Amino acid sequence: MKTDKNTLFRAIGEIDEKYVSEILEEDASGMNVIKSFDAAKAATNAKKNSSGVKKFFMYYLPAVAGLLVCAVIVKSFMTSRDSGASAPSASADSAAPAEYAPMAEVNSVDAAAEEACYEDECDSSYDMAEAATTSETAGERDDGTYSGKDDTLTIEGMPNPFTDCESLEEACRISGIDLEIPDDYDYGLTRVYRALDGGMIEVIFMDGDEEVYRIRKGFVSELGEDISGDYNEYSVTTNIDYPNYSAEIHGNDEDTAMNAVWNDGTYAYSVVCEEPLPIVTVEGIIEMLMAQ
Amino acid sequence: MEDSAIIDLYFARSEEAIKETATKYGKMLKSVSLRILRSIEDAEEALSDTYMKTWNSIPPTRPNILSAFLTKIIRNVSLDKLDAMHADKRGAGMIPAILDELEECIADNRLPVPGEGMELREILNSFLEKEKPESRKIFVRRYFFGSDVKEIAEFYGIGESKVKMSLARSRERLKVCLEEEGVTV
Repeated sequence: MKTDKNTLFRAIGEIDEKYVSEILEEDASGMNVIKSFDAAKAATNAKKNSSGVKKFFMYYLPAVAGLLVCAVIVKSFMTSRDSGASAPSASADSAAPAEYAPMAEVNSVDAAAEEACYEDECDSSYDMAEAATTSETAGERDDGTYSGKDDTLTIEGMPNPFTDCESLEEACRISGIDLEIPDDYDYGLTRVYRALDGGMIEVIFMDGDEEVYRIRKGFVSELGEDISGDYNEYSVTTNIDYPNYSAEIHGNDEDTAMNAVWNDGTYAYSVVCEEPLPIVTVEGIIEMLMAQ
Repeated sequence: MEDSAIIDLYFARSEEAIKETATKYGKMLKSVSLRILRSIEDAEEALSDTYMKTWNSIPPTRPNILSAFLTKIIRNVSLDKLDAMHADKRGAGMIPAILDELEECIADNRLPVPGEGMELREILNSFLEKEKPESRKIFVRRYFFGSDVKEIAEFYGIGESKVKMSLARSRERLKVCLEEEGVTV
């Protein structure tokens, strides 16, 4: 009611003079940078760096390892086939780039293996072997694909499983999941929508180039109960019971949250924060999503 | 002139007190009023009323921090003036936006009844005491001084979205404080 918010606004005028003086002194001194913001920024950057390490272990390393295994299998297959026809054996020195490792170096081409493979009219699995046995460093194209020189082969990164969407409606259509997020939850941030075909919808809230928090909703049957993708360990876990579901909130103190996961049996949900958000804010997001 | 000397002039009932106050704080006080009233004419009127109220308050009051004392007076004077204005004019400034933001702090649009639990002023002071300096300063700038988000962002050299986020978090924490101190849901 108007009178009540007026009362609160009036009461703010009665706060201790030291809080008013704090501002006046700041104005008078011309000190216009809150140092702790810089510290917070530095902490965020440090966290982003550690997040990069996390991504390396979560995505790059498994992708490279997967391709190594594929290369070895294909090589073994080719070697065993070619040994009967006295074809030269191929050897893979190292792995090729994959979906999350577009900047990785492409490894050596074994010309003999390539020739043998063509001679044997290799099937499409040759592409993978090719990629795994290319020795020149790939050149990066503007379109994000990677092209080798001369005897190197064009490497296309595996497709990103997420589709970037122009709108929430488009993300809903692709994912097959309904989701509404009122503007109240933007806090002045911009949104990025992504969808996983038939599986999950993701809304990332950005402050410029920096992510602040992201909401995910996906099918439990497809993706399991924890779709947060956040595998960090946090010191405090808070369970909040609602009538038909229970949310697990993780953070490093009692008042703030780094992530929250919950599900209603059909849909799994998660909220992941780049910086700690007040638990009450995250609770508000949970209740908003579950009220739909 | 030192604040203590100006206060002594008030106690001596010297009209130089108002002159010195105007010289030292007039510009700052007018800017506080302008944020609320959005009219130079009205702000100047509020400034005159503020000098009068200060003259009537000192003595017996001896302010600890004269600048803050004066700021609180002109804020209240400006708000009184705003209330007295025509409804159409009242809607012209940024106060409605600030009030709407503050409404979020009130769980069911009710505030503690005086005498039940802590007084509102104490709750606010307790809340501000617990806030981190940066979020407290942003909160006070916005809700005491009536600064707009852009102005705060420019002052601290940070993004407007960061200011909005800080304010949103502070409002959430204030809401919790208010609920804990007797707001019946």
